[in-house]
Amino acid sequence: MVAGVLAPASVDELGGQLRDLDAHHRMMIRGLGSTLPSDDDRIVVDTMALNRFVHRVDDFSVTVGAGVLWSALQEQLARVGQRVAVDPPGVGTVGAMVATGARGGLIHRYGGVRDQIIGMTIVLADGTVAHSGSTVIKNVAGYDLAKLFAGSRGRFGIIAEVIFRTRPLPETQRTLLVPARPDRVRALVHEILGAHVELSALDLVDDTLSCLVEGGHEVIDRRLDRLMRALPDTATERLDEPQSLAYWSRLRDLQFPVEGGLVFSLSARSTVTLDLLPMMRSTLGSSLAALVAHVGAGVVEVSVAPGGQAHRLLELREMLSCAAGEIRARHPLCSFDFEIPSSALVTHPPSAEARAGSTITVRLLADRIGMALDPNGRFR
Amino acid sequence: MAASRIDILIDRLRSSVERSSLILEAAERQAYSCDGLTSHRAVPKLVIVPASREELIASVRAVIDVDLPWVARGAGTGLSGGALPDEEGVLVVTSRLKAILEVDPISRIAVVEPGVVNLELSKAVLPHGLYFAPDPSSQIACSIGGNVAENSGGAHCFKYGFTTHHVLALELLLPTGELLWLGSEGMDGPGPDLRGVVIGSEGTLGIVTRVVCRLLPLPEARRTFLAYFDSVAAAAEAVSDVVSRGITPAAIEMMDHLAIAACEIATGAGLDTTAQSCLLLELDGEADEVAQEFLSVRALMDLHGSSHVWEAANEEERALMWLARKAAFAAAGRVAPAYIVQDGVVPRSALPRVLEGIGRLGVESGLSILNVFHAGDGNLHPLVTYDPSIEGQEALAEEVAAKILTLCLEEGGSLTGEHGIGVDKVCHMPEMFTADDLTTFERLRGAFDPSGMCNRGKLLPTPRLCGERPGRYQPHPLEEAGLGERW
Ligand SMILES: Cc1cc2nc3c(=O)[nH]c(=O)nc-3n(C[C@H](O)[C@H](O)[C@H](O)COP(=O)(O)OP(=O)(O)OC[C@H]3O[C@@H](n4cnc5c(N)ncnc54)[C@H](O)[C@@H]3O)c2cc1C
Repeated sequence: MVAGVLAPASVDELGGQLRDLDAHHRMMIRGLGSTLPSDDDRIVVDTMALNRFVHRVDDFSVTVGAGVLWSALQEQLARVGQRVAVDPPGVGTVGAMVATGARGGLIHRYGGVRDQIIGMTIVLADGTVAHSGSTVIKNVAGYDLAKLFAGSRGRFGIIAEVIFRTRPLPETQRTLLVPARPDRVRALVHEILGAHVELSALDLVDDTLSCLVEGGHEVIDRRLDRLMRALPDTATERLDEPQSLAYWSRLRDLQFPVEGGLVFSLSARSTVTLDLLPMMRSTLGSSLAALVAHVGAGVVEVSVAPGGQAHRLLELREMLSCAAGEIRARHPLCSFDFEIPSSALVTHPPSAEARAGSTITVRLLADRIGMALDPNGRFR
Repeated sequence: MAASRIDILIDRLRSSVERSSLILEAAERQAYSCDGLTSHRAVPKLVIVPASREELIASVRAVIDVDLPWVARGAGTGLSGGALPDEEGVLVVTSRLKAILEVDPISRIAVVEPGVVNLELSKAVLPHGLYFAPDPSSQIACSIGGNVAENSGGAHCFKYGFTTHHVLALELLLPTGELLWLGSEGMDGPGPDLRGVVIGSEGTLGIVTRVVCRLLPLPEARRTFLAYFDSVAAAAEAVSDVVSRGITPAAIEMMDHLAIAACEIATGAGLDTTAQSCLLLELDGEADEVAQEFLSVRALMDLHGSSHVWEAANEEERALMWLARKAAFAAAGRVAPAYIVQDGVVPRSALPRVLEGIGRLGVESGLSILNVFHAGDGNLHPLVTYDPSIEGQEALAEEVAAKILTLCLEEGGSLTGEHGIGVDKVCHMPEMFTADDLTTFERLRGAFDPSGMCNRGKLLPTPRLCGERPGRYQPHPLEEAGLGERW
């Protein structure tokens, strides 16, 4: 049984509730879907009532409570022709999407969710309410707490409100599907990127490169023609708007865990990820449910089937460190659980460090930050 | 006490770094006494200019070992005093770490040392048809390490974003002496984005020793033009309209009448000095799209009553337009002997209101205020001009500058869009942030720098700092003669 549920309706109420709690009581943040083991005695902070929504249409920014559903946010924005340029898989609250560092194919052009946030209100374990950023897109005052909290999976505190930069919703979209045998992928990616057509997404799934082109009605077909002309020897397939929408929705689903499965995410130099893809496929074999590579961004989502996940994780890690020695990977369902020593990120190995304790891992630094913001480890 | 620690340090460094990496002479140290914010000066006890990354790491660790305060400095072009030395400590300058370690044109990344000058990176990758997008006006001089520390932007950041969007990973030497990589070479790294915390932290969380930069392909087409208006409000409304139609120009810069006149005198670029305001717009991207957008933007300029438009016919004319725009700071010197530049930000829709408010402050104070700014992202750079030889005018100018920041904050904006807090605006922080916000920042800083020796006194207000107000620097005759210093 959980020890209790807090369901604050405002940021200040949440701050007050946390201040009143016994400082050692452990907590768990819940958006839409998190499930807790029934024997856990944590206090649940349910964010669903944090549902403020203030859209400054002309300024292209929106303030939104952590409990608002991601889909509801996008629907509201779409009514006035705007969006937050992130297309994550699955359903969930804004807080959850931010806390898990959500992203989809649009990462190619716009970056991840962290890159769309211009302000954030957080509540720390002791009830401290803190803000960073503001409603303007350009702002360098103070530390960027939003970056710290994006992808932190609730380790440092509660994301209560987020201010996003919004962007114009493109008038229309097309997709070009480019068959890409493993030995041709690299050359094709190079040709596609060299075509001077700005892509919104470039994903590789099942030997097909998917190029998403978004923009105005008047020029979009000419732009797609141009992309095709850059690939003269390849039998490409064009998807019109409805087909394209359906296609990307299917790709999003592939990035969501299958029943009982997990999705691992890897982030590395894009050429390195390309080189590793065939190896990932063969190593994971039949336990691979799907593999979606955002190839230009160097980010790969690996969905594995249930069973032997710890083993799969180790295999993957082993392969990454052998093959590249420069990738840190994350395991989105259990925080940054596994990590390769951070000394080996780029191909210039640092000279032998002179003294013990001279390097630390990201994990350790994150733990220190956790200690500073949540000294009693309530969110650990 | 500090003096003896310095001696111990110098002694140790003599055996571990090149002789030329240490600047000991008082007169030479004096040259590092300020950054671009020349009103604040301090001479450090020692300046280290490491010859290599290894020297940098070893020497900063030596400083940490003797428990002295230290400050990182890149090219010293910062405008908020971020690289102002600590008079009791050490200044570590990255200007010799200029190697571009690797360019990977397929992955579109470059790995560089922190002292690489911003524009040099773009030049180096030009043969691959690539460039480094952050383009601060100081790009011929400022370092990428400095860009990281300030999260610098430039005229083109409305479309392309800031340094944080173009630096994928960085190697950081923490104030504890430990080294680590943050971020990854892909677009989105694992776990909490500590890379993103360090970018924009103004050298308070450690010193950046290597940087992985993302590179963009050069735009295929570009169109640049000036549109003149009869009022500032009309230009501001035109900007809002362009953006709300879903067009994202690479740059939208605005100048008011005073700025146009001053820039024209300074450059002779051919600006229309009778206009009340003008917009410098640049569209870039795919040729087809740019052509289409150009038509739409032209129509919008007409719609908002633009009197006429000057389109750059070639690269020379484009360069001339940018020259005129970027001459504003120098041109302000022709209006009055001194000026204070502000860097506040407001939501775009508040621009007409805030500009009107600034106009009122100018009239009330009798000071000329030139407005030249990044209109797309609402980042104002009002230049409050004054004559220091007139009694009280400097204080008046400071007061007006402070009131402009208040106007920005009242609109939900920010104290600074690109210059940073440094020492300059540190005492304004409580106007933008609550006490709880500031304590949270302090707790975060403490996790990186438990002993508080890294760029202390910057970014976060302290009672010691903000109780008093620094005056404009007046060099003592002895100092001018190089015979003495303020310790
Ligand atoms: C004429 C002029 C125009 C300018 N225009 C713009 C503009 O358009 N946009 C803009 O954003 N800025 C602008 N600036 C401000 C300035 O150029 C930028 O902030 C620039 O990024 C500073 O780089 P720098 O190498 O000179 O850094 P410095 O001034 O040397 O240092 C700035 C800060 O960075 C820290 N730092 C430097 N190197 C490191 C490192 N390796 N690791 C950790 N911390 C470090 C310092 O401690 C300090 O806090 C302008 C300045 C001038 C003089």
